[in-house]
Amino acid sequence: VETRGDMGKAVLIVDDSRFARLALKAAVAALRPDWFVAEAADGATALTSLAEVRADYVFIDYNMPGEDGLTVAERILSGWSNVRVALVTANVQDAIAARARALGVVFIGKPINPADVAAFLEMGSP
Amino acid sequence: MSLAREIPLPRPEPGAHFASAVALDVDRDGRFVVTAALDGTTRVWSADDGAPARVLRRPGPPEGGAAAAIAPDGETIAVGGVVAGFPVHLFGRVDGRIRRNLPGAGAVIRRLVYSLDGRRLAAVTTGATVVWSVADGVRFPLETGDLVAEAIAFDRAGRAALVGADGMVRLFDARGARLAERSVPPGPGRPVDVAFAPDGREVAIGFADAPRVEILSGSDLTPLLTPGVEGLEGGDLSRVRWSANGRRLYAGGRPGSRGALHVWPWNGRDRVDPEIGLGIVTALRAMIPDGALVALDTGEWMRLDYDDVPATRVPPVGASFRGGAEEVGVSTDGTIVELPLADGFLRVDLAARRCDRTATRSADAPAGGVSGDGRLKTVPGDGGLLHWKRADDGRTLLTLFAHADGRRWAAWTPTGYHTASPGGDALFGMLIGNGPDREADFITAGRLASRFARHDIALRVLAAGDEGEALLGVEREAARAALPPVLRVVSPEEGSRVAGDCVLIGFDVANPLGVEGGGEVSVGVRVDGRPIAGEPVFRVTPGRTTRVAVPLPPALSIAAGDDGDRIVHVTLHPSTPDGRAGEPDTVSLTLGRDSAAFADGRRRPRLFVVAHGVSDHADGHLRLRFAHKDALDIAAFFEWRKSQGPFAETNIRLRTDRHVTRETLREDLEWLRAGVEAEDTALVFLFGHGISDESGRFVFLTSDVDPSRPLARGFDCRELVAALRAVRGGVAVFLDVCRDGGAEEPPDIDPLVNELAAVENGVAVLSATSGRSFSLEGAEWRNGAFAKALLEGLDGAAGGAGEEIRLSDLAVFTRRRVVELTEGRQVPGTALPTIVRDLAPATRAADSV
Repeated sequence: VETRGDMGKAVLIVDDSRFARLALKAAVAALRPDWFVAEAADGATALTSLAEVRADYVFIDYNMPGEDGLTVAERILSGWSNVRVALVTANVQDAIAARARALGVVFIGKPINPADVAAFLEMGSP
Repeated sequence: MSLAREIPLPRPEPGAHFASAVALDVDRDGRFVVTAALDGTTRVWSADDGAPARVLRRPGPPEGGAAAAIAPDGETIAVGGVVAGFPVHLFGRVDGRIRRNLPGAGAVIRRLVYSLDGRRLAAVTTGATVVWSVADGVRFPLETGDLVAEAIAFDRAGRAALVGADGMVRLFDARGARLAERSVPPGPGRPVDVAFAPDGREVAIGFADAPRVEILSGSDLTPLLTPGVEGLEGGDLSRVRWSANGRRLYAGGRPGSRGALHVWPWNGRDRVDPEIGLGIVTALRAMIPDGALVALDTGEWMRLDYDDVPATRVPPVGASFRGGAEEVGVSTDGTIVELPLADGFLRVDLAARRCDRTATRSADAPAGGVSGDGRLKTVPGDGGLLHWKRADDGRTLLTLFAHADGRRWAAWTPTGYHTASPGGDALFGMLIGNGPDREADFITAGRLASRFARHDIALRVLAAGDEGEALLGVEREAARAALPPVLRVVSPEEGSRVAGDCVLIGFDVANPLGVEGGGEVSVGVRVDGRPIAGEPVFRVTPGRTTRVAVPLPPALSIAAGDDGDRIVHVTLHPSTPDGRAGEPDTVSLTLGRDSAAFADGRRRPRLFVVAHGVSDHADGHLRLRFAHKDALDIAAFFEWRKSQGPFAETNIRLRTDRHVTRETLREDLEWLRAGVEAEDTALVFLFGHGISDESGRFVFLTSDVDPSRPLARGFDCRELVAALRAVRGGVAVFLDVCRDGGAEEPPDIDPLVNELAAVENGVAVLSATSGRSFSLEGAEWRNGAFAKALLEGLDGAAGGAGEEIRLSDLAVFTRRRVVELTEGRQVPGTALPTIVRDLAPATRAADSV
């Protein structure tokens, strides 16, 4: 994972699909070209890198190797209370959706819609 | 008028000759090449690029000897054949129809030669040489008596030189009177070919059985010189021709120590021995303005440029089997065969519908040419053909044609029931003779798939032997009655230039039951395989020439930044009132930069992507791990690339798991039908399970399907075919719908692939599997093997150095990569119709792999 450096806000994209990360990264870059964007391919990597990145926003896929995206989101929110988390998914069960909403996690559908991404990035700190 | 329709015979039709090309000719302006081969067909080609223009099918037996010549003006092609007493058929080059017949020569015709003014046509036969006056069909007197000739040639003055089987060379004046007669100089070999120098001053003689050429005087046949043959050992020079300017002499034949073709420059330079590959030179012609045409016994032909380098080459289309019948490996029941190639083996497993190249023989198909149970023997035929015969009486039960590409193949019974790889049903069809005076009709197998695509019957014939034959005998009459109509475009001619935004197409339709003036036939039109605005349908009466105005869609095939002319393919496809699709015909036209169609509609194309993947079915037994993720990743790829590719915009419909239903599939296909315009590209990806039945119907298992009642909630892929047929832009479908898991037997994907790719549907298809086999997914890939390979290919691993990644590139890469990933357990299939433009779904990104 790259380090944040001296840039403005930071975004972490967690998805095991390289193309999903590239698509989301392109969408973020189009909206916030001066923000730092880091990537992780699974939850474990995301958790270890979050401290380095000091991400303000995290996009996280639900279906990943190892722990699922919502479990990883729970861990992130329990350790970094000022981080906004979005669960990026094409399809979610009702029970998972209820659990996510209770955590304050935002849903963003696949394929990603730039308007949804923009709305999420405009949210202030929790 | 009734046509004397004959019993249909299944014949290979791989788009080029698969047997020895024995005749070769070109018109005086060097525009049209004509070849005739022992496969029974005569073919017309563009001399410029080798593109096929027309197949001429003579009456008579479907295979065997053939002679052909094109009139100097390029309008008429004379074809003679294997049957003594059959007339010489004069075909129109443009429409491929027999215009006239010249009375028979009374013997089997071996060679046909037009005089340089086109007024006379000479036939070298197994009996006397015959010369006709073309205008009235009257025999032109030539003082040859009953002499059997080997070859004849004409010069500009109308004189004829003739090489006799008696070893003599004779010269005749324009009225047929003998001018000179002389034995060739003593030496090895026997004279078998003759060629006048363009100015008539010299005559070249070619020899069989020896590498020898002699030059004689064109005025009295006295020997002038013997071209040097130093270093030539073995082989012969049985074919000779001068270049158009007379400065080079070409000679070829059986290959010797320095190959099969040799050129003597007439400026004192050393002989050149061009590298033309393996094979025997069977015919030579001078090309305009320079160079030569060469035909080989492999069925290929080539145009050599002025440097004696092949500039255009039409390669052999059949797999090149080596060795005799005893070299064929055959399994116990005969359903697996292994055929030796130059660099390994071609293994065809009929039951599994697989065709693979292998480095070594397999234990389950030992060499010997006989099945392990002793019932069947296998006999290799002409290029790419293999026959299964009953061991006791030699009756043919099944015939295989394997394409040289090592992927496509088809196997058929004597009646035409067949099994084929994806795209394999375009390699053969049914030949229907119309009596001794009419050209034969031909219907590709894909057109007959609904009735004849019967994998089960093809296998049953091998298993049952003569019991199967009894079944087929009953079917013969029914099969004949099921013949669909045959359409042929008669104008404009192939390659014509189109200036406006509309083109007038003339065509004939032969009635399905062979009765002229019968019921009406509907004719639809497609351009580059796609429907045009308004989807006009013309109702025509068989037996009459009809002309219709076809509007050309704007901006056809125009890629951003492309400033060249474009070739467009206009296809007319007939169908009967009860909906049987007939044999279509296609004419390729050049759409110039100056055409209205080109200029009017130039706008950037759009991309439409539909990706559906189901891992999580209502029935838990069907659960998959990565089918939904395949769809997600494909959608993510195009989402990522939408700002970088050639498309003005990218629109994606992604559905996974419970959102994949019959209703959402219909909704998304309707979205394509309504939104995609002629210049746009539509890509459809399906990932998950499917099932098929013996009729060829394929059902995609939606998330809510009940596998015991698949039609209740599953998606019948006939709907997919019908929906995509109506989409106006370029369409490609990617099918990975035979996933392993949940089903005991893999479904058969090939009928669906072939139907999508049929001319009247015009859809390019890349399939994860071919035949009855499962596709695989793996935790290490986190995708199905097919999706992983597709994504790698789209991301830049497919194709060459060009910017665009085309479907043809993707197909080659995906096949290789999937076989590699699965260690040969999964072999993708491909069907890319030739009349459909080779879409470019992606361009190479700066950070591609």
